Amino acid sequence: MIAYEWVVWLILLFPLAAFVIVGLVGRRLPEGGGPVVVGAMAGSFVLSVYVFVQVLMQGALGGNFSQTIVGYVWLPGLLPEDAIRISLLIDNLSALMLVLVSFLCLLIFVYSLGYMHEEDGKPRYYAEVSLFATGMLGTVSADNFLQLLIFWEIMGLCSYLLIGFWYHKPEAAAAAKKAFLVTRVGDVAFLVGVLVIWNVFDTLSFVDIQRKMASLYPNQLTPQLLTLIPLLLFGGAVGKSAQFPLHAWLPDAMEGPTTVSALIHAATMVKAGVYLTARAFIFLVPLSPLVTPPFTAILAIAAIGGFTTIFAATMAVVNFDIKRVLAFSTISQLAYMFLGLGAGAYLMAKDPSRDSAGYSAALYHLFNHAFFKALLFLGAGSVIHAVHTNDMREMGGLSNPMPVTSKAMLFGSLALAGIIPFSGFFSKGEILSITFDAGSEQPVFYVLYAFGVITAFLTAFYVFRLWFMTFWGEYRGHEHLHESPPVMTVPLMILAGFALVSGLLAYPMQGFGNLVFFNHPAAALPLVGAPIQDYLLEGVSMGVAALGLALAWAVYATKRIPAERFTASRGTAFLHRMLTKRYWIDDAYDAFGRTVVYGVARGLDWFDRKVIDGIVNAVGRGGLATATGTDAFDRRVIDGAVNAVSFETVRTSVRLRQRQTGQVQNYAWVVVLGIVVVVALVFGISFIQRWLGGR
Amino acid sequence: MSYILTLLVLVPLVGSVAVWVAGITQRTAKWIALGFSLVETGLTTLLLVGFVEPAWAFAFGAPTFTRPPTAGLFVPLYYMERYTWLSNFGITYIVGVDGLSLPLIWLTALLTTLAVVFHWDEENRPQAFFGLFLFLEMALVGVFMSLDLLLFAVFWELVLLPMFFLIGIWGGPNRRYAALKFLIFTHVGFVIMLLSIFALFFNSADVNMAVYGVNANTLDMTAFLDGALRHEMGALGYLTLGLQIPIFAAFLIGFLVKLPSFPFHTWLPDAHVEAPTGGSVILAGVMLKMGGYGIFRINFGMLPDAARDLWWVLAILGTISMVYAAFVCLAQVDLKRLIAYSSIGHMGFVLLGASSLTVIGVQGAIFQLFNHGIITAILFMLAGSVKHATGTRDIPELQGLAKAMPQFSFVLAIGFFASLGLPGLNSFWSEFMVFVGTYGSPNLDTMRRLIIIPLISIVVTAAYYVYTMQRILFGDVPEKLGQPHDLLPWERVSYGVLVALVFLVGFFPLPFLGMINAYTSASLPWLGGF
Repeated sequence: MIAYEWVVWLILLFPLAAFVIVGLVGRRLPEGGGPVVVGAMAGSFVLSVYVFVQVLMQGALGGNFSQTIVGYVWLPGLLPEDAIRISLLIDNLSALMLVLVSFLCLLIFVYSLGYMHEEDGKPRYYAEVSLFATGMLGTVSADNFLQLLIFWEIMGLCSYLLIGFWYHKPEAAAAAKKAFLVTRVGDVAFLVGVLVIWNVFDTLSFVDIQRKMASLYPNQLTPQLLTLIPLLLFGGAVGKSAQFPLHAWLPDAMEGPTTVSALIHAATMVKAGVYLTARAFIFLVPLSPLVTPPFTAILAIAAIGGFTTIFAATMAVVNFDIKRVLAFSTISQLAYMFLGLGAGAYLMAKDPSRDSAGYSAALYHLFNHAFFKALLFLGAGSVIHAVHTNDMREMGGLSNPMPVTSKAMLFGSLALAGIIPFSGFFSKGEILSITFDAGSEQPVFYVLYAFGVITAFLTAFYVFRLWFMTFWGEYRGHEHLHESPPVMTVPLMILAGFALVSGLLAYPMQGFGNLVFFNHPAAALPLVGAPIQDYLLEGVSMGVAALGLALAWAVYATKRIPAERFTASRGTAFLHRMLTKRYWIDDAYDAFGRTVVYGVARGLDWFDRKVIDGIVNAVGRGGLATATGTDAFDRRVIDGAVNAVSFETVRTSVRLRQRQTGQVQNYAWVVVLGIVVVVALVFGISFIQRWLGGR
Repeated sequence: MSYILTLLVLVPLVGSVAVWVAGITQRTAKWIALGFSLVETGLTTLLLVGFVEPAWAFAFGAPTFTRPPTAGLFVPLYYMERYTWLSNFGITYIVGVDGLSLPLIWLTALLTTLAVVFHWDEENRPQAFFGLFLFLEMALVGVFMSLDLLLFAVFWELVLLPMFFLIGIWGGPNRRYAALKFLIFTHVGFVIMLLSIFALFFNSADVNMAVYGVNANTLDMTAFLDGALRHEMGALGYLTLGLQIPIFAAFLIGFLVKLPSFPFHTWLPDAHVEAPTGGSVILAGVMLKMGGYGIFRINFGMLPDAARDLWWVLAILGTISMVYAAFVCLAQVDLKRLIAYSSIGHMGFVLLGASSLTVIGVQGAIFQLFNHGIITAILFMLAGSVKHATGTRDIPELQGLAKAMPQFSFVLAIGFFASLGLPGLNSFWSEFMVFVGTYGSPNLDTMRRLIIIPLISIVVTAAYYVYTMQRILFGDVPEKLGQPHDLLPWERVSYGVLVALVFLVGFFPLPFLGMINAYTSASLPWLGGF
């Protein structure tokens, strides 16, 4: 058990307090309240580390830790099992996520002090990012699906506001709208998932659901529902983590400040989908011999992940916007995580005694990716800060004026490409080898493995294309170049260090699977004592990465192979066009929204005005006559009670308005006074009645 | 203080007379109106606080109810007052409140006060204007607390008059058409409703005998409420299903017009577009709730057999209202018209939650009445503010308001996000409960997947709000907009109170849900499941 468990609440409350303070008086604070936010985040980070250490010290590595800290029960007594509550769950996964999130938030907030220094609207920025930090920390520490959904939506709100930070830019406005709406589609699936879970389990907490699973199967929890629930939750994840087909918002979200892209759209929020899917493991791998695992759902998750890896990577290859390349890369890397989760779940579902290697590998990749992708984005921010453009065609040769940035980004690129010993190598390699393993159970995984390997090649190619186009050769723009200030480069150096060592951190832990795992720890160390097949698989992924790097070198550094050659033939030109147009999916969505959705809206609006209101008006033409008729009817039936009096008033007023159009205002108070008189009259009658009755 | 409820009717009535008599200048008129509406708000707040937590009921004593003379279950109605009045016709003056009506009464008092504050600079006939608001408040409070069908009907009709004049005199250019349409439409609905009242009256002798031991026809609602409750708990001899169904249907039509629901909604956008801001605030914030209140008090409370038989009508109309209104909103140009249609959609939630016939669904629907009142008041005030500041409400002509009117934009964003059901804000809870109730409803059984149809409206609702924000908040300020002023001081007061409530109710829904739970568990114990 964690000593001083109230500390966990403070992790959330620090950034929340910073949000309130900066939101109220940020204008009067130095740097628009930036230091306050940084300080609050530092507090959260220290406490997160405390919690993490407590969790680690509870037992041997590979020990399962789980503690629910019940806070505010929302509707006690109204609902079964106190289903709605604000409570925190600290287990191996959430403790790790708290440290990861608070550390990255802290670094990026520090970086923001430099990056946002000259911006207007700093209080707004700092208030929103600290609210975001609250949302993300709350998401990863929620003990139930509803609370997770609430914080999830708070993040979505902050994402919306921060993408639209430069609100005067039309592109930013459109991107913010797109991000909110596309993720909203996924959120509806998530919401339905919550409804179904509640209906079946009468509770929403992860722990209770897992406990009740076996007893409810297969009566209340039918096999169809067991397939449906994780798929609905995954629907939310697809929206938040920008997987196909809800990927379209993330590249556009790059209209926000680069720090926001680094924090929200690379390191943290988009990972929430992976986190949610990891939490959905309780459905995917029920761990009870009585329950048949939902293999269809598992396959769907793996397939979406596997397909999105290659789908997004191909679009990254042709883009010239430095941030958009990284955005596509984020989509592709997140897809790796889903692939790992899917493959791992499949293996575990087939054989519950297996270790949870896929689960651990996916979260290992999440961990590593958070560092190196934040690094790449912050590096890109540093570059954009200097050259004032996002277009890589106007960069080049920046390694001389920006030595720190260029080296830090080189580290990040190597990690993303998966070159040993940088972090991406370990986690990506593990995901791929587990996918390959799963192929022996279900051949589809061999196809997904092939996608993954091709993507590894493309990844190395596009990230070094980016690096060479930015830092190699001659500068192609017209700005006065300078290295960024230390407040920006120091976080870069720290992150570069992590890009190198975060993969290696698995060794002192005796494998990352000892840190986070599902049911059984996956104790295998990367590259230690593995079967020969694993070495071969690692070799393959490393090899294709090296090939991709070499191709990028040949095309963009030495220019031995001219880039034009790839678009020379008609077939490849078409391919290139298709990729730059993002497979026309964004266009299709826009067209769908403009024509179908807006068309339906216009059509119904017309229907409302012309048809329904037309009928109303047609009926209304005889309106006064009808009203008079019904009045008479009322009076006959009700026999002179107060009602008829009031009708009379209504009718009189209507008539007065007709006769005295334009003058009716003068009569308003007369009519109302008349009502008062009528009421007095009625009271008088009642007194007389009573008096008569008394006699 | 057993006359507290009558006092709640008299305070605004006396206030309106005082404004008409003494409010000669704009200053005196508005100060008198504010004074009386504040007194009313204070009284209702004390009542509310005492109801939520009897330990704090220092002003009027803890809630008390009157037990009917015969033994058996009864619907608890608190602070009840009963005076015989025109007894020869079976008419009595009965008022009482419970967890259903009290939040709505409080909302009425609060929104009236804020509407008066919002119109602090009203120069057009202030005497009549502020007087009518207080008169309207009196009628609305009367509707929510009447427990005699005739009294109910009288107050119901009295509500129309001040609103008719508010639209007809202080309204926009097309106010005559809108005011007449409003009056006739809701009046026709009322007349249909009256048929049901007569039908109830002529079939009430047995019910009256069972509950009060008096063998005479009556319009006393408590007789029907208690009779229906005992019938649900197994007692014989209540209105037969064959009788309940037509009565239910005719009441329902009256309430659907008021709510309004598709296809009886077209009076609403016109009325709103023409109404002055305060009129819209009361119209959407409180008057629409009369329909929802009627459904729960009368259709559910008195005619439960028919409710179980006709739930699908509510479900279908609610779903259509939600989806249809959301799409129509997307096509609107006038900001106020958009908000008016969004009200129709949000009232669809009420019907859907009611149709579930589950505890949580009905509670969500009642909670939605309250939450929508708060949020829509903000939204209609915003439409008024932007018209005041820029001279237009047309979305295509507005742009860049985030720069030009930052405070306005801040409130607008909160209002929009609250209205689209952002978790943590108040209407999320009610909408979520409605969906939970509907999905878990035993009615749907194997058709649970149909829940996806009303859920479409969630995405479309987000779409029209976000699309509107993109157009009016973002971008650069166009030349012709000039330099619009930001929120005026009194506007800030109104918004401040309402925005605080959005967060307060969102974070701590418990007191309100507790009240609603007290109502559903005592009055509608026959509702299914959770």
